[in-house]
Amino acid sequence: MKKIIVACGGAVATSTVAADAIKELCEKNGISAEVIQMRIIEIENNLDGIDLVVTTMKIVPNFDIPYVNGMPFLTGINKEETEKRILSYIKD
Amino acid sequence: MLKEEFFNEKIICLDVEANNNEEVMKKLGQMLIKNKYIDASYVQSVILREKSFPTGLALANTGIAIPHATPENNVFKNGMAAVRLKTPVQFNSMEDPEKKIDANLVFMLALSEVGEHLGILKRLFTMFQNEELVKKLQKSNDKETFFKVLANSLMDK
Repeated sequence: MKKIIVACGGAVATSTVAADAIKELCEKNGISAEVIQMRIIEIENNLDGIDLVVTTMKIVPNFDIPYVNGMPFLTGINKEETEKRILSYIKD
Repeated sequence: MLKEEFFNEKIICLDVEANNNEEVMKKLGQMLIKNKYIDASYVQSVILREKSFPTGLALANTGIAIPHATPENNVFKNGMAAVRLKTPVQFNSMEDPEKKIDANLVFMLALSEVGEHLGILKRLFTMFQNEELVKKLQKSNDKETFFKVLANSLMDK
């Protein structure tokens, strides 16, 4: 089981959309994954056992876990490329 | 099912003139307050939140913004107000707060519990990704047409 954090700035609205798209992506590719939604400020203290971090706001990662900018799930621009990158991190 | 309450012509205003994004958010807030969706304190938190977590989005051909905040017992019913601006107003980008986006469509979301509205949010972003529909919103001659384009996109299919 892969664990993915999906985070946005504050109100957990945009991360809901990105999280849902990532869940669908995992299902489509037969990857069992747990998607955990939170605010960007909470990421730091919740990195135990996490395989991938996705945010809808650009951050400068201060951690060693793979990180992907999830904005394309909102705007549609570069969506395929982003999906491929996500899969490359969580595929066994 | 999309409730008419969530989105209707009372909370749409076309060809608004505004000097900055705060004025746009106030205008959106006024419509939501007047129609009893929110308390004035929600608008204050939206304006404040926009400073640290901006909501401008660069779509393929245009810029939009979706100001919103975390509700604190100040959202009475869920709704989305929309304005189309006569001339675009700058919002900072959600993706990169240092970047500016010229937005001409601005939607203020008031959601008491986001989880339950995934369906609507998903359809909203699907619409933003559809250049044709965004163009239609920009070219609608009146509120009724604008409303119909949005309603068709947000309604359960």
